[in-house]
Amino acid sequence: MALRVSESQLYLKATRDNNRARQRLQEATLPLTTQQKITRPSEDPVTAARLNRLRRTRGETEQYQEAVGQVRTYHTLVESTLDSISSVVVDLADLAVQMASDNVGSAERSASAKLVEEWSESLKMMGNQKQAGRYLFAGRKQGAPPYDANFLFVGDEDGRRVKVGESRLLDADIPGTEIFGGGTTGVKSLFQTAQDFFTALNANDQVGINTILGELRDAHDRVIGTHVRVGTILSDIDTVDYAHANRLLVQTLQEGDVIGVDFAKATHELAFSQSVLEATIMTTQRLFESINIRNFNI
Amino acid sequence: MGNSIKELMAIGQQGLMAQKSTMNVISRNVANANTPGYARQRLELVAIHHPGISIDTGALETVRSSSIQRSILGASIGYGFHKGKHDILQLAEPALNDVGGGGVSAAIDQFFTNLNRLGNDPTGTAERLEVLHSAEHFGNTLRETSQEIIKAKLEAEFEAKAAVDEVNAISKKVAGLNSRITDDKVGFPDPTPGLKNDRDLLLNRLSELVGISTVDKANGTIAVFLEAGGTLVDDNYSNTLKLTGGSLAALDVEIIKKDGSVMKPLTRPSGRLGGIMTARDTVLKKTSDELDQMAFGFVAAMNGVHSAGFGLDGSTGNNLFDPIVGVVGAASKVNISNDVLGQTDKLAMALDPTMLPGDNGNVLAMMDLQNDATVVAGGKTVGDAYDDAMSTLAVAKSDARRQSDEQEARVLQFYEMREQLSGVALHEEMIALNQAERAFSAASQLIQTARDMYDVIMRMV
Repeated sequence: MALRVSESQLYLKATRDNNRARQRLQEATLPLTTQQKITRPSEDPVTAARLNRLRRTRGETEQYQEAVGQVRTYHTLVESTLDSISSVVVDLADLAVQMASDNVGSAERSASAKLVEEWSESLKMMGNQKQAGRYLFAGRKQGAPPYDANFLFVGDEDGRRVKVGESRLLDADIPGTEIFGGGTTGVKSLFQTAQDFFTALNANDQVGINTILGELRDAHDRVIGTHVRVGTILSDIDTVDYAHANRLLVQTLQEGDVIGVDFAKATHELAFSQSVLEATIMTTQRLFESINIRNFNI
Repeated sequence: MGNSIKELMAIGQQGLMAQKSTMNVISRNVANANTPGYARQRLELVAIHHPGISIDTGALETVRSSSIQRSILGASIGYGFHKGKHDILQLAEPALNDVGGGGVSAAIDQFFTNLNRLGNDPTGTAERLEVLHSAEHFGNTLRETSQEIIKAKLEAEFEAKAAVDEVNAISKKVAGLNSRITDDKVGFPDPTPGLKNDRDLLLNRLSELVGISTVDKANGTIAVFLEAGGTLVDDNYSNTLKLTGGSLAALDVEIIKKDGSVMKPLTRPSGRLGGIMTARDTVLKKTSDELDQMAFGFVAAMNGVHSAGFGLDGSTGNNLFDPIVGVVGAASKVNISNDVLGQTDKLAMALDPTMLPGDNGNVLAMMDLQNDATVVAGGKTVGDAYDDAMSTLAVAKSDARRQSDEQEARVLQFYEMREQLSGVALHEEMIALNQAERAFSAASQLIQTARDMYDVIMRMV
């Protein structure tokens, strides 16, 4: 059969080509206006599901980063408080060394007791220190100061842990007992030692002062030990934070790759689609001009 | 000799009549060049020998191919099915579209982000409020999503009803045309081809609406059968389709016969009606089932953990969400429990009541549910379960769009084939008109010559 081209066929084809060209232009415009490769899941279901997963993972990483930030703030505060505590304990120990000497008399010891009393008060303030509405050394028992009126520990000796990774928890509390002793540790509290020191000085008890010197050295070791642990936690935090920052960067880049528009490609497609539409319209116009019945000269 | 001149004039007159008829046919073709479904006509001219050679009009042929017409019907069924499916699924897609960053997926993220913040500071009032708000937001978003799917199902029901009504109206018209075709006597100009064109157009639309097969009968009528089983049109009567089911039940169709008896098709009909039914009762059902599974699993798991913990006020056994009984419709029942609604102190973040208010043990347990693959039946996390529901809809819609485009291209190809064969080409008609005009002039010239000869003879007498 010879190929016939009927008028309806031309019309049908021209309409189809025009519709296709318009649709292509519309689809080419969308990525540039939305700045996204896809706007509906059905355009690319795999990309849409991948995007959801990436965003969830990124959301989790951001959660963990936020948690890491909070733990860092707490431990940095504890670290500086430990510096102060350590300094007071060193001062107390130095004084104990001096006051344990045979060359020191009762008057000097009695005068020094005042100093010990001040330092003791300072330690007590640090023990019940509150920052941003939170008792630093109360552990989970945030409702009340960790040390009562008699400076006995009534806080929590375990403390909270917070999630900083899918299967990674970090200590978010340093209980007061770890620094000051007392509680269920079986170690005499630093506050009691300071109180005993005060009493010994007033009583001019040289033997007692010597015993306290030993206790103060132990207390100092304990503070240093906690300092080291806090330092280790802060170091862990740096590592975790660095890993999260890297992960976040990769996840953000991945998300960009998945959904972000390649502007060069999108612009090219837009320009090309415009040309296709213009050409289609022009062809259609010429075609219908040429098949006008008045053009048939019989 | 007198007889010869008379014969010459008769031959000329026959020629004039024949060419006039030809020109009439050409005029009709040109006039209907853009009439949808019109099939061009050709008038056959035949030589007659009595006693000289003359021409007369033969059969009026309508140029059409029943095989192409059948191909159009077949392709239209596929196109109608996928287009119908696509049209319904695109109504539900916005509800599960998280590409822009919102939706259920973002609500899940937000909820766990706020839980994590509360884990960092279990005493914080703002943190507690945020957890409550984001839990409420999650419930609202999920309910809205579920509602959108229900709306799309309702819309599908309307569309299916509209399709059935149109099928019935077309069937009635086809039966009417069958009746007129058998009543009309073939003559000139033959009205039957016009009726058949109209019937073809109706059948094209009918096949888009519902899967049919046709049988041409000897008396010129056509019988229409549902592909799914059952007769739609035979001779001058048509049966009626009836939509059944709906609301919570799956849609179904019945054929109400002329005698009032009811017949059930063997399978779900194809065409647009079948596409709508598939979108509603297969794809959307699966999507909402998956959302329900997700909601049910998540609420049960979250309540299980939450109720084991302790609030700031020391209370325990409180649910975070209203417990959901049964999986069906679970996604539309996610509400914050009255146990905690507006009561931040009831949020059970602690595992050890003696360690209040700073204990975050239960928050950690709740956060573990984010990546717990036992939360949703089938071994899925809550996020993965949502992605599955979204993917079910997205993949089905994407597939329906692709197949609809492919089938549309097929339909158009067959239409082109039909147009190639049956369509009117103006240039062809103009050539034929030119030929007819020249033949008309020649016949006229013949009469004039015979008349001149007759005059000469008469003057000689």
